[in-house]
Amino acid sequence: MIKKVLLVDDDREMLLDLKASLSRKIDTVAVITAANGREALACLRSQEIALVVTDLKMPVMDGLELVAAIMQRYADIPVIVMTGFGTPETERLAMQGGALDFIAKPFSADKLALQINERLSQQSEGGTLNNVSSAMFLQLIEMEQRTCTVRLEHARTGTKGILAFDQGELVGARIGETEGLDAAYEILVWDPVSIALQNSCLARDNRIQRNMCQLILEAARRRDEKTSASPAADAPGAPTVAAAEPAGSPARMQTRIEKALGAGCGVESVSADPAWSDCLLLISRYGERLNLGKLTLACVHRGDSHEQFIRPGAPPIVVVASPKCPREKLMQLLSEL
Amino acid sequence: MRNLFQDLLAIDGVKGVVFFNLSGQKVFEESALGGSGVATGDWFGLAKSLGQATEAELVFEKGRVYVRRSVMGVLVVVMGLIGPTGMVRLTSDIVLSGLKEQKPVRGLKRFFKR
Repeated sequence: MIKKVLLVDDDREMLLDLKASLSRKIDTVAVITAANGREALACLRSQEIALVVTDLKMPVMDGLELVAAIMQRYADIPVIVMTGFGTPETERLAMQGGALDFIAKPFSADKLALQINERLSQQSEGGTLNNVSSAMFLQLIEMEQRTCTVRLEHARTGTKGILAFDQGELVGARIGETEGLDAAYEILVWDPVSIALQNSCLARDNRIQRNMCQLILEAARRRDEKTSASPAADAPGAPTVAAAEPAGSPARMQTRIEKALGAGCGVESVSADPAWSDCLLLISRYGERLNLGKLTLACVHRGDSHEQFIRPGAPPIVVVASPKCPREKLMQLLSEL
Repeated sequence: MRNLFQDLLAIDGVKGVVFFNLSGQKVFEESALGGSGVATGDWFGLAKSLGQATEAELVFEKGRVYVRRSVMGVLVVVMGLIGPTGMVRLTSDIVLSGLKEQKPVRGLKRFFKR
């Protein structure tokens, strides 16, 4: 399997030299280049990258910002940092940000090739399997309570996905830009798949919080619904059932909240409630009289421990959240949706 | 009365405060807002229409309004968009409990500091 390595540096000459050398030295990788952090993120969005090698000092978006962005969205992708300003402090900052390795300039292409090889081979250190059912294999991981990262490739379409397990519990999932529950539901119905196992969990936090049995059942239900709704929508990457709902619908909103805050974020229910319409209209009028603009969100406490977040619309959407819900994050999300 | 609400008015981002008693009469208002101030609009009626709600935070495009119902009446605080709601909530607790304690004092007690 050819893996893509992304080289990021603003020194174009060095980048091309390094690309040519690495392509010669490691025949299992395809080298892609980017001139700065922003270009690198665009590559990460559009392609399946297995590893990133980045410089620290670059215009537009520097290496530390890039490492932070990768850790935030693609925590499973290893990062090697190279720099000509290699001080213990920069090394510490890069490692603290999530970089796995550090290589000080000048270095030989051989040395970098060795590090890349080492990191890439870690991604399948636990072994590889071909033509297996993802659901069956993942249930075994749950039963054995393994801590690992599983890289899967859908045999029919070549789509790649990643699942992270902590002591048998699925804690992270990603297919390209899709992550969390949406990605997990999609991966769990892939059959057959090729699998590579890494013996460590690369997810930073638990964004799933459901057991495997529930996930498999829900994934199958979603696939069946999708198939009955549109036979052409069978291809991986096609919109999920929630995505087929009209924008702003409670189901769609719940999916987006769970995707952003995690399934166990404390949101108890999301529903449409037309009874709020008149009250919200009144509030909106008062706000306009105070030159505060239109009402974007109302948060109401009714004395019990739960809080209601009401988003104006036709009909208004009511989100009920428990005290464990990250209130400010939810409010920001609801204002943006 | 102003002293009671001083802590609320002193919070950065707070633009105005109005307090209605239980019969809906405006007891206090101070505002840095133009026009007819915070009391424009029937906030008291609105607080009542929120049913059992004890407090509400209303987020608008250009600001926030915090509405709090208590046994003494309805408190309305207008803030900027990045309103320090947590601090406003906390201070409102203190202010409203201070209102409860304000009882007419008779005799010698009135000369002593409380």
